[in-house]
Amino acid sequence: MTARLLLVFTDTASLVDAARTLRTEGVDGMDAHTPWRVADLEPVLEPPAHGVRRTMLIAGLAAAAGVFLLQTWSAVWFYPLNVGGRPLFSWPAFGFATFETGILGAAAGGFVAMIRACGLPRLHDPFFDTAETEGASDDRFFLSLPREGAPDRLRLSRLDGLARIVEVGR
Amino acid sequence: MTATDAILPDRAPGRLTADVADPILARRAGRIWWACLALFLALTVLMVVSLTVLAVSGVGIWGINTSAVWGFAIVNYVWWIGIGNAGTLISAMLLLTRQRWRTSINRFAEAMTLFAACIAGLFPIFHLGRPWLFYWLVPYPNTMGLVPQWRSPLVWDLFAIASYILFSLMFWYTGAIPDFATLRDRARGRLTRAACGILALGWRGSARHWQVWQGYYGAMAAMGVPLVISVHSVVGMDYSAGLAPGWNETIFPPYFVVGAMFSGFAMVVVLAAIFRRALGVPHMITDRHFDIIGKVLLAGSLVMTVSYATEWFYAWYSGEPAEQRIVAVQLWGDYWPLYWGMLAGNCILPQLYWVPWCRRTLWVTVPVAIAINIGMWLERVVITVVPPTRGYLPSQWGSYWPTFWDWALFAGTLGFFGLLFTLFLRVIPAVSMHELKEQVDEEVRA
Amino acid sequence: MPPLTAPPDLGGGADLDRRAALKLFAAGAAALASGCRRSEDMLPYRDMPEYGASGDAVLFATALPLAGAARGVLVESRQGRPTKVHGNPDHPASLGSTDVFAEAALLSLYDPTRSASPAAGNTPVSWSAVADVLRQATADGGEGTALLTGPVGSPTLARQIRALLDAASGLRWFSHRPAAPALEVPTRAAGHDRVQLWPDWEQLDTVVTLGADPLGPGPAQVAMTKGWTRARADRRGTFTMHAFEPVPTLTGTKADLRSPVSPAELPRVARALLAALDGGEAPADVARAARALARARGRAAVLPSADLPPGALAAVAELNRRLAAPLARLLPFWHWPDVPQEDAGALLSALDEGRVQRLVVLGANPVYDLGAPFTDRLDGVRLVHLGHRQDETALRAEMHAPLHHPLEDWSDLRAVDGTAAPVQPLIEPLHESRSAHEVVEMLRGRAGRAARDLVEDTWRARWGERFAARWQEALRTGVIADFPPPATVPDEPPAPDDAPAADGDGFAHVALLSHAVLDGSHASNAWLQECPAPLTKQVWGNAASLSPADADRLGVAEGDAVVLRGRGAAVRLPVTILPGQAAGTVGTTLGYGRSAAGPIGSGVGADVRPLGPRVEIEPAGEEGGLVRTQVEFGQHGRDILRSVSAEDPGLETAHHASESFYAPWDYDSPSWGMVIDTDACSGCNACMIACQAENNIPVVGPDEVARGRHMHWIRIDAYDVPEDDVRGFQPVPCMHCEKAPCEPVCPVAASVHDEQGLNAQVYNRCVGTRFCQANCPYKVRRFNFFDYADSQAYAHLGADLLQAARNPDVSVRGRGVMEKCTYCVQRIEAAHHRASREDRPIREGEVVTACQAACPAEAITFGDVADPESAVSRARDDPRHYALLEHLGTRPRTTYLARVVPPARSEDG
Repeated sequence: MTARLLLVFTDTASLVDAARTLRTEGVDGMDAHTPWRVADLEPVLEPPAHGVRRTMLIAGLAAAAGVFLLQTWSAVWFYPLNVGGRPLFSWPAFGFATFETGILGAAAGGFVAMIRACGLPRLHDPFFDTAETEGASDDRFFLSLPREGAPDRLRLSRLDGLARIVEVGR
Repeated sequence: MTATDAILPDRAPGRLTADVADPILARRAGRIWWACLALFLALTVLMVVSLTVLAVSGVGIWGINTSAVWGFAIVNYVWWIGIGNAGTLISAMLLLTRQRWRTSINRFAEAMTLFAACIAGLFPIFHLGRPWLFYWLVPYPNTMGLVPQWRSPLVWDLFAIASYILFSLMFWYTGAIPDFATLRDRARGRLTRAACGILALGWRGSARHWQVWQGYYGAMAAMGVPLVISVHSVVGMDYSAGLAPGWNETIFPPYFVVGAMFSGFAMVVVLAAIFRRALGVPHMITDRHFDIIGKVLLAGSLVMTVSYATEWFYAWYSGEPAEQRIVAVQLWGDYWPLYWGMLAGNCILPQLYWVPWCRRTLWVTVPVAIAINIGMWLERVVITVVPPTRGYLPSQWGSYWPTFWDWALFAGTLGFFGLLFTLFLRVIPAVSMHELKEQVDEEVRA
Repeated sequence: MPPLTAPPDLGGGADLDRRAALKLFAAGAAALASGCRRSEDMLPYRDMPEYGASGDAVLFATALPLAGAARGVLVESRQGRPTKVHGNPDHPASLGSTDVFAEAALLSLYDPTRSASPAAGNTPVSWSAVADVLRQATADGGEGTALLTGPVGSPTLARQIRALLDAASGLRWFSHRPAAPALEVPTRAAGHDRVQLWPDWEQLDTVVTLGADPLGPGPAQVAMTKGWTRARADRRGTFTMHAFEPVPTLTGTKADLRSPVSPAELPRVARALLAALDGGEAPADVARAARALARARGRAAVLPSADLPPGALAAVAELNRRLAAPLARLLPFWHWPDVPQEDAGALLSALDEGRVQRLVVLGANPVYDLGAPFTDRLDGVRLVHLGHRQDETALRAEMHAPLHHPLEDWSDLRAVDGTAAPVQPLIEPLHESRSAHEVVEMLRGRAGRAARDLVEDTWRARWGERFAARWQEALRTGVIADFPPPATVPDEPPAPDDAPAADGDGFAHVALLSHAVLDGSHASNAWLQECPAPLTKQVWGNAASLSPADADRLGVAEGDAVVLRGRGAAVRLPVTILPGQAAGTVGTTLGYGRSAAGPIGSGVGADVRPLGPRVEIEPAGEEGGLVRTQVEFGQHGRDILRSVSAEDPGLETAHHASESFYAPWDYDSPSWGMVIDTDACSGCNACMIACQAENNIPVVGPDEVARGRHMHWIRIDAYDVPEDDVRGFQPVPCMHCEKAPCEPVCPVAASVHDEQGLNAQVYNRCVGTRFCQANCPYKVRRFNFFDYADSQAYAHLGADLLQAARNPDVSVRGRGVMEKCTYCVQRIEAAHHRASREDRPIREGEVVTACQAACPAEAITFGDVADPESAVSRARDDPRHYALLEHLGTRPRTTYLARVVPPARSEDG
């Protein structure tokens, strides 16, 4: 992993402003580490699309279709039985398993997609090499820039609300 | 807004983290915790013994008979799964409607869903005459060339409960990943650090992470509401897809869904009161929470009352003597103690929630919530036992009396539920820290 | 039905073809299976037919005794052991049907608690020791020795006893008959004690019963029910029956008109009938009955109860004479004119006078049947008991030895109407028992002649040279043809009027024979103990029935306990309430309260015999211990047991099935259906026990029934018919619905429909969710809550020996599995196999379900509904036809014919 500079802030407003400022100054490849989701950051940092929802839709429809076809095939062709004189193709009854499986498929597909899109599991990331980043899950807000081509320390230190700068990676 | 009206704590994020994480990481278990553990462990042992005796001797140890073929096992199954529904509604429905007060309670409410759904899932397996063959309800390639019989509500149940449990697990876990990261970063002991680290999967709170996370979490919330509605509708269809008088009612699916929400929220009241005290977090689980939940319960109670009244109306309107007999026997016949107990718990006592003071005062709202849970349990007893014992053919009328093992298993599952939560308190952050802090932050910035 | 075969004549056998070898194998396998005691000719089975012979059933004709009288039966033998009792169409006391006792005789054969060997107290002894004691009893003329038997209906045994009495002149023969057949009444005709009245139902249009119960339990039940049902069906609208009785019986329940009359009132009714016939005044119901009798002179009869006083009996005899009733007056079947036979009263006197020092009890149980009057007089009397088990008398005896069960025995037996039949064994004796014939020979000091030979001696003496052919014919058909009909008894002499009965305080006590255990002799049979009493549906016990008004007055409800006191005895019983019971009467059932009837029958119910004809009743709390299979008898306006009037037999179908969303399903022929005529069903329960025997249905025991669990696949529901103040009967097997509600709800497809229209329950697929039963509106399914058939069987019913009773064509179900009526699918499949082997379709009437075969009232019709000419299709076209709970749209294949309300009811009384 390349070296990155982490700018530590103590509140979200400063973090968002700093990100916006650096962005307008043309800094690319920025990321942020926050204990909670800061919605305002997303239009600023413009992370690439992740397609999790699309995956969920596809997985859900595929699972639903699969289960519906399984039911239809087994009830009409593979092992048809006279069950209460009901029609073999009992599509209203088939709908229940279809719906539930569809939702499960979407959930499971999305879960996998989410984990993979986040690049997880990644238990040993240089981000964890220092104890200084522990606040990222508590009450500190980190703006992450690639060290290569980052503005100099002086410029950075003039950002509002900046508490500290940490280096990670090599 | 006065301090007591505040729904979100007025504290720095760091303090909030400490409030939730310290009971797990820093503080040792108190005497009360150990006492609870001992009690619930004993009841769990009773549950295991009951299940063992059941597997060895057969379902004849229960009070079921040729007419009343379903007894406590199905009552408890429906009651537990109903309780479970509220957790998903709090996580999902309240998220979609942007109710900020959900964040203090959604973590343990979701845990309640998981625990209740798993306990509920025990019953359809163990109440079988041949429980070791329960997997025949699952479609899998086999040498018999057989598949489940898709038109049966019990097969729908399997799909519904299975997907519900798995969905809830994924949903709950996803929401908890950032909190596991918090615990990982705060933990002192190597074992804790390693365990939380694995559970956190290496979460770094990156903006990318959060975007993906939100994409998934929001979509899950959107699916969660129809899932809850479908799951408990399917549970209702266990009864209403049949033709027994008193069961064959199209009102059952929505009526069960509302009832589930109703009993689930009542259980959340009880759990919230306990956790507030156990964690010492009255600023997170505030009086306002109880106030709002009380209103939800009041609304639920009114809907349930209307549902019961609809049943009475339709029995009369249908002109079907068997349906009318069911209602009569419930209101003033042999089953009146159960039915009036149900009405007291579900319809009468919750009217206290009209009074704001009642909603906010714990020693009033918690007993009423318990009464609601008892009332809902009695409702399931009435539904499960009355129509089979007062069916179309009077020669087949009979009665149902629970046996020791019926009660023992029920008490055992209550103890198991308590055990799971007792352990939960020491292992899982009981409040969703990141969501709470996010809400506090938004309020501060607004 | 499979073809009849008799055991072959083992003396011959020159040309042996495969079929003969097959028959020999079947006979020899019996010897092989049980370990031979006498060697019979056996042939090794080298040439096995393709389809395997040993599984096929072979039927043997024999006769089973009930209270000493025969009912001819055909017993199905599988691999050398009997597995099912069927009726014998050729025997007049069966005509193809059975009663509960005949069906249950199978279970008592294999009862593990039968005594297995002779014993003196607790010490086993040998049969030679027993023979010694018996021989000494009749040494020096048998002075001081008495022989006590039950009713003897066997010509051979009678012949032997006569020879014994001739040889031992001091010996006296007593017989005790605790259960008399219906219509056997006292007579004052010279030289006679009792007369067996025998109606000719084909000639009857009007019957009036005065306390008589011809349709009730006893050896005449099947013949009487057959006659009644055929009269009713053949002459519908003309045939009527009027009943006057205190406590509702089956006869009264099926009567067109019934009047509750206390026992004291019955003689008055008899005299009033006589007066009304002459045109005198009478109460409305009596007048109506008299009018019916008068209209049918020559085709009417009055049937009296045996408990009527002599004057009333004489009045009834006079009535029958005037009506020229087609009513034969036969000698009772147990009466042998040339053999001196005394009754139990004479025995008690003899004991009193000290004339009896040694008493040999052969096939009777006087310690229970006679009670304290007998046991009080036993001091100094040496008692030897021969019977099936260590019963109450055996426990008092110094020596007990086991007798053969009728299914193991060679004998001959008379039916109530005097028809003789051979009794041949189905299996080698299971234990160290002997035949009663051999025992009587031991009394004569002779031994060595086998029972078969003794029986053949009787008939050889009668038939001479024609013996061989006629004996083979008798064994093949199960009837000894041309046995002279019993002599008739002369007419009743006139009698003075009886003194009016003292009404007295308290209640009139009417003790009836039990439909389950008769007089107690069947108490150890679990199938019978669990067979519900027809009107109260009580099992495993007896009760005191009261009229609703009396129950109100006493302040007791059904299930409460009461204590009956009479003649110094006090008996605690639960209360049942019967509509239509006469006020001031209490009805109880005999045959309970036994103390030594094995683990099944001991301690069940209470003995009411000591109570006497009048009792006081006092409430005794709420825990009566009433165990019933049905607790609710009202119809609640749901039109379940429907009625039509004879004038307008069409049923108004107010509850017709609605149109269905679903496309109709095509069914091939044969497509099975069943029609049950509730007008004919007399509630006798034969179908229930036949089904239990055919389908290996377990007994669950009283605790399980009390919890509400039953296993009978066909049940007979009793419903109150308020307009008639009676309970009607409705047999309910599985409905085999075309749109079965039990099928779509089974998650594993264990309940499915086959191409023949049967709802099939697949035992090995069932996981036991019980949703099928929850969704069945008729509640016909039965769940194995425990392993009732084996490891969790009630009492000793899991014993290995009882497995021999099982029908090998029907699976035995394990724990956790649902079961139900299958329309005897094993019989349907057997018919398919036979038909396909012979390359033909199944014939009409070829498949007969167990319940249909057993029913004496011919209430069940079964067959192919796709064939418009079949009996069941014609029954479905009957205007009385309806389906149960039609409006639910289940389209049941089992449907009903409504009861016919008598035309007489609409007449002004």
